[in-house]
Parts: sequence; C-alpha cells; structure tokens
Amino acid sequence: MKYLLCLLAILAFDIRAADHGEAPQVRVDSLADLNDLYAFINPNNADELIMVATVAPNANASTQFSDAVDYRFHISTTDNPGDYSVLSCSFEEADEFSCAFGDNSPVTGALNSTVEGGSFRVYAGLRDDPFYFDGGAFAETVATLSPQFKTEGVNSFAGQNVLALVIGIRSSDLTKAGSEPVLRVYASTNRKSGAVLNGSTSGSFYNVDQSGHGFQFQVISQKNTDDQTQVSANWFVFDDDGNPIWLTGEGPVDGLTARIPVQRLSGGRFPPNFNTEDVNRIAAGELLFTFSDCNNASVEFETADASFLASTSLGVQRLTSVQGLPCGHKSLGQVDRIGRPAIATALIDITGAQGTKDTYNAAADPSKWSEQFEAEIRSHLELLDSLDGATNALLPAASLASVLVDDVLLIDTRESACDEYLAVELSVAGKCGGRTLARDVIDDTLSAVVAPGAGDGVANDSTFLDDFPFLAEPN
Amino acid sequence: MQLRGMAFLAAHCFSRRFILSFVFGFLPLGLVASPVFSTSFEKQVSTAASWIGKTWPQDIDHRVSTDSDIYIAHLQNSIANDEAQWRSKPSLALGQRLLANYLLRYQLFQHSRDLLSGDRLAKRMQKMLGDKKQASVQLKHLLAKQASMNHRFTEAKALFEQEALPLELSLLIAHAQGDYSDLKALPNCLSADVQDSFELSNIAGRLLMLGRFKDAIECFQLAEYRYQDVSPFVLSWLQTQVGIAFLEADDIPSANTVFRRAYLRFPSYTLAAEHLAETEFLLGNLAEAEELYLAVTKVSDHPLFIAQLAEVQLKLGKHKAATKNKELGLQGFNRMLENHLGAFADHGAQYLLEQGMHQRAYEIAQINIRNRQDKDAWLLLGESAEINGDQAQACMAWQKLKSLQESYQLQMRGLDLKDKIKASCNTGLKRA
Repeated sequence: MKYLLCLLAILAFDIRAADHGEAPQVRVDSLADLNDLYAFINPNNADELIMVATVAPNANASTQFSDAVDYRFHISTTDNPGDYSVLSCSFEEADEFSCAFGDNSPVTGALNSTVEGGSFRVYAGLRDDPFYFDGGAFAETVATLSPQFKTEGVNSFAGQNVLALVIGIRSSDLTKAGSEPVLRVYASTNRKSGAVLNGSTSGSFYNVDQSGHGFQFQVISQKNTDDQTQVSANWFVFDDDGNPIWLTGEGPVDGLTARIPVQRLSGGRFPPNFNTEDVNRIAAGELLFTFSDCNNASVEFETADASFLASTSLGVQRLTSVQGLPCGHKSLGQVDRIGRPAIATALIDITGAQGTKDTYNAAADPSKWSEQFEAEIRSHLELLDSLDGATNALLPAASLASVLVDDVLLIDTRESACDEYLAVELSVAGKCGGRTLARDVIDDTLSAVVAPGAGDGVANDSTFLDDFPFLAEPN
Repeated sequence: MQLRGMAFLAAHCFSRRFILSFVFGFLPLGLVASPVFSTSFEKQVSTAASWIGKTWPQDIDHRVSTDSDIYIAHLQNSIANDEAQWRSKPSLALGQRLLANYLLRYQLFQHSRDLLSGDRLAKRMQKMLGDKKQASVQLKHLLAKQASMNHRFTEAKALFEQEALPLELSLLIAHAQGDYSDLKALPNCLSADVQDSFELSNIAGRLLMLGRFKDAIECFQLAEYRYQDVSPFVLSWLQTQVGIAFLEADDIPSANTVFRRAYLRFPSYTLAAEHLAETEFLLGNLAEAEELYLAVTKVSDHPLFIAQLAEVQLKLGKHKAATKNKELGLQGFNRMLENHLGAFADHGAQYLLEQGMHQRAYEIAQINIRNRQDKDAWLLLGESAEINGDQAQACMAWQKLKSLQESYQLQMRGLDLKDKIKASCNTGLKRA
C-alpha cells in the first residue's frame, strides 16, 4: 500500500530545461521501500509469531532484494526503544539471504526457500502480492477530496507479485514466557555503511601459520586534524635475535586501508621503576593494513632500518573481537519503516506537498514519534473524516491520532484468532489483533477514519497457503 | 568574435563544447582552459565537504546503493508488467506508474522510444481524465513533466489551472521564458530550513547559473549527504551534477574524477558515461573515450552521442568509422527534429550550425525562440543569425542576452556581448 504514492512521488524538476540537470523521476529505490507488513499468530502453532514484509511491487522471477539495506523486524513488549529485539536480513549475494536474530547463529538460505535458525525460520522470495486495494479510486479521492470509491472497485494489485520476507519466530521467547503477552511489531529498511573500517573492525589479528606474534588493531574515536578516523595498532613480535619487541603507532583510515607509522619502544623498566623519560622511541617503519573483509587483512611492513628489521608482508585473520560489536556492515540510517497499513500513505503528507514522508520514514526512535507526527496525523484524520461531509469517524481525530502515531502492529499472543484488525487497540475480546494476509484492512481503515461502513469495494483475490510461508504462489 | 561567442555557448552546454572544440579549434586536445578554481580539487573538496570527510565524492564502497543491475532489472520488469496490464485494463493509477517509469528510463538511457511511449500514454491519460481534471497534484505534475520534456510549456502550465504551479515547474517555465528573477534571492543551502536533498540540488543548479561554482558544489555535496535512500540513480545523478559544475568551471581533471565515480556507480547511466567520455577526450585519453561512447550509443539513440563518437574516431584516425557515424549522427538529428522538434531544437540547431548547415540551423533557432526565450535560446539565435549574415536579428538577440545578463547576473564566461552588440548592431544600422 505504502508504495502507491511513494513510487509515484514526482521529483523536483531541475530548473534547467536541459535534460542534463533534470532530477531523477523517482527518488526512492522501491526495492528498499516497504510495501506492507503483516503479523499474526500461526494458526497451526500458537507459539509462533508470523511476520511478513513485502517490497518490490510488480516483481517477477528476476527481481532481487536490494543489496544495500538490511531488512529488519523490530519486536518488543514495551514502547521503550531500547527494549526492541531486531531480526535482520540481508541479501549480499544474488540468490541467497542471511538473517540474524539475538543469540541465534545467523542463518543463510537460498532464495525462494525456507531455512530454520534456532528459534526462528525464514522464507525469502517471490510471492503473489497479498495486498488488495482500489488505487485508482484512492488517487481520485485525493485529487477531489471527496470519496470516489465504488461498490465494486478495481483491485490495482490483482495478479501482481512482490518480494516477500516471511518470518516465523517462537513468541514465548519474546513475551518472557507469556508474562508480557502483547507484542509490538514494525519493520524497517536500513542503509548499510560503506566498506570503511569502523569500531567493529577492532580486535586482535594474527597469521594462523605463525601463532605467537600478532596485532592489536583498534579503530579509535578521536579523529586527526584532517577529520580522519584514526587507528591505533600494536604489533607484538620478535627481532631476528629472538628478543620480544613491540611496534606501536597511530594512523588514518582510508576506506579499507590504514597506514600507520610505527615506533619501537625500549628503555622502560617494570613499574614501579618505570620512568617515562627512559623510554626510547625509535621510528621503525610503516604498517599498511588492507582489509579484504571484516575478518581478513594483508599487512605490509616497510622498515625504516633494514639493518634491524626487514620489510615484510603477511596475511592475518581475526583472532578476537570486541564484545557487543559484531563485525560487519554497520547500518547507517533508516530508509523506510512500516507498522500499520496506510499510515505513511494517507495520514502523512497525503498530497505530497509538505515533503514530510521522508522524515516520517527515517524516524527510528519510537519514543519520539508522537512528538514528531501526532499533530500531522490528527489534521489528516480530520480531513479524511470530512470527506463524506459529516464528522462520523470511529473515534475523535485526536484520540485516533494518539493511537495511530504509535505506528506498530499490536498482537496479543494469548489469542490465536487474528481475524480482526486493530483488535488490541480497540480492546476486542478473544482476538489477537495484528494483521492477517486476508483481512480487508483498507475497509477497516476507511470505516474508522472516514465513516462507518466505508470501503473500497475490493476483496481478497489470493489463495493463501495453510502453512508457512502462507503467501500464495507467485502469479 | 565568433570564437568567443562559441566558447560561451560551449561553456553552457557541455556536449556542445566537445563538438565545437573540433570545429572551431578552441579547447584543443589535452588543453584545459584556465580553471576558475584557484585551489586544487583535493583542497576544494576537503574544504567544501568537511562534514563528510575526505572520502567525498563517495564511491560505491564508501556510500552503498543498490547494485545498478538489480535496480535496472526491477525497472524493466515493472515497465513490462505494467505495459501488459495497461493493454488489458488501463487505469489512471496504472498509467501514472507507467508514465513515471517511462520518464525514469528516459532519464537513464536517453532513448527516444521512452519519450514517444510516454507521450502516447500521457495523451491517453489526458483523454481518460476528460474535462473532469480530477487528477491528483502528483498526476498533474507528472503529465506536466512529460509535456515539458518536449518543451510544451503552455500545455504543462494549463494542467494547473486550479492550483498554484509546483515550485519546480514554475521555475522551469519561468526560466524557459527568460525570467530568472528567482536567482536574485536564493535560499542558503546551509540554513536549517533546507533539508531535502532535491531542494538542495535545485538550489545548486541555480547557483551554477550565476557561476557560483564553489557554493553550488557545496550544495550538491550536502544534497548527497542528506540523501538517505539507496537509489544508485539518484546518487549517480547527484555526482554527475557535481561533475558538470567542475566542467563549467573548466576544471577538467576534477570533473573527470567525479564523473568516474558517478559512472562506476551506474555504468549504464548515459549522462554519467558520456560526460566521463567527454572528459577522457579532453584529457587526451581517446581510446577510453571511444570505448565509453560506443557503450553509450548501444543504449541511447540520442544523436549527439554518435556524433561525438565520430569526432573521437576521427582523432583516432579511424576515418571510415568516423564518416559512417557522422552520417548516422546527422540522420539522427534530422529524425529527432522531425519527431521531437521542441525537445531537440537547441541541440539539433547547434549541431547543424557546426556542420555548416547554417540556413537550416537558423530556421530552427527561430522556431526555438518562439517556444522559449531563455539565455541559451537567445545565444543560439544570435550565433546562427550572425553566421547567416542577419545582423539585425543578431543585434536584437545579443541585446536581449545582455539584458538578461545584466538583470540577473547570469554566468556568461567567454562571451563579450559588448563586442557582439557593437559589431552586429553597427552593421545592422549601416545597412538600415
């Protein structure tokens, strides 16, 4: 749903008529732009939460996920940002995916297949688009600011496929064995950082065939006067006579390399007899680290005194890493997010005139959403409520805005019947809430925000599977 | 006189400069005109991009974006699927998505097929809209863009009878009509009010018109920094714009560095590749330039590129290929002028002028000035009138241009309008 307007977002024209300067027609990458999120309890297993995120409208068999983002599912029982657990998937190879969650070992699988990973399982690949909606009538409604939906609408998504990420995850692990039974779920895409050395590269490195000497390598927070990230490195090694020496220095990071002038230290004595002035610092040469990936590097040593140490080079691999800093691409920023359907589409900058959708999508701290967007959502709700000429939404705009601005799906894991959208928010007994694949959430939303009984006249046209991954086969 | 005027023209239309360098002999091979920047590229960048660090302009390893092949495959799939669906069940919503993608693909590959398909589709959509004009602002904006790509500005404007024109569209039309008053009070890129990458790049483009290269480059850098998404096209486009800024400043090596980054991020993005080719040529790397142009002409049917390829091949001594491609270029321009006169009038007239077809070039320049009255259109008219000996028309064009320059402080390096006016207006007066 969300991509409907995002995809069509018209970019700024360049001020020159010449074709050279015209800005790209579509500013987002729809492969990183989340269409829809679904979350429900597996009807075959009450202890499994199913989450589905879709991207790439109009996909076919050759469509691939973006290799530039992590696709994430955020799950929590509280609204405290720090409490969210994150299941993250990435697609660095054309035909496979890898996903990681908590203490489970990361899993890797082939596209269009399901893999198991401890407390979770994942399917990633092409499926029928489960969403159904009369996009044309919606566009006309926005254009005319009067309802243009018909009794029998046209499903703009009929026969289309999407790329889907389907996760099954043991819910009792998330609810602290049922003690905090209501889960909050949203999905996001997050841009990976480029291939640069960062804090997570820090650790000990050695040559596996030369155990007994090695490097301590640390990317430090202080930058040099040229605003470059710095690395400190220590090489614990021996000279040609077998005496232990250590070479130490600092140098700047340049992409995947770090060039470090190193000194050899001597003359100091063991504390308490240590005296700084006794320490001799002798320029020993230069170390050049070139990382091929996070765990492997080549090291070239160019000596400053060939009579003492010879220039040499060797390959090294990671021996240790820093706790809490798993090596890998660090995410740089949230590109998109989705919780409930249609929020970013219909309740944020509906006409595209305010330019706030990007800000909404990039807002990564749930504790600040209310402060940032509640007023805008409220004004949109008031507008939508007035479309039929009456103020007859389910709840006053202010109340509804305060609920919807918390843009997550709420799922009560004690209930297995998930056929009612907004059930937790509206305290509907016996229902788990969330969003199932078949549920007509557009009619639910129109009924809630425009008028009771409002709908787009389109019904589900997909034949869903009875079991994982649930989505219908691709068309 | 002639050469200086052409030098100005070239400075404002990069691809034209390339061709002109052969025809008129300025900017000879390997010679880089005196750079506007007094500092080196590295210093320029490190000063301007202090918030980004030294790695700017960022290559694909430092600033990730979706692989361009993955990106293109999805675009092609979407178009193919939507075309099939449009044939069986056309709707405005579907047409809107398809038209946006035709425009996007045209921007990427510069193939007239997408311009034509877009035009046909837009006409069908206009019919579907009928008199109701119940189109969203987004749809109107899209249709207006399709019209403006073909320089049909009145049509574009007419779509917004009820609402105010979106800023970008109103600027486009104003500039086409020779109204640059927006340049007098440009927002400051570094102010907190300007957050959006595309607004920043828009300001940067306008700064370029004033010859404020450093400010423009800073704005483009900030635009790149603020862009959060991962579209390889957007990033490659932003870097291409920076390359163009360096090119305008006659700093060819820096332009080359930046175009290469843009090209490596998105090798099949035509404008990145052809600008890289142009700078390779200007730096004397003929084989590289030829290879790039050959690749570009495989995806684009824009006649300028094959004409440029012909010029490179001529320099390489490949006379047979050069002759053939020169002929193909001419045929291409004739075809484009027949099918898309509005869109290709300026490039086409310029090319004809360079090829010695002065009379036809002048006719097209006169048609062009009826459609748009911006500085490039007056310049083209002035040059073609002068070459054709119509001093009265040339005098009028130079005076208009001088008036634009003085009113808006437009960048017109290399062009001595005083001399132009003196020469053509005095001759005109004598004849009168």
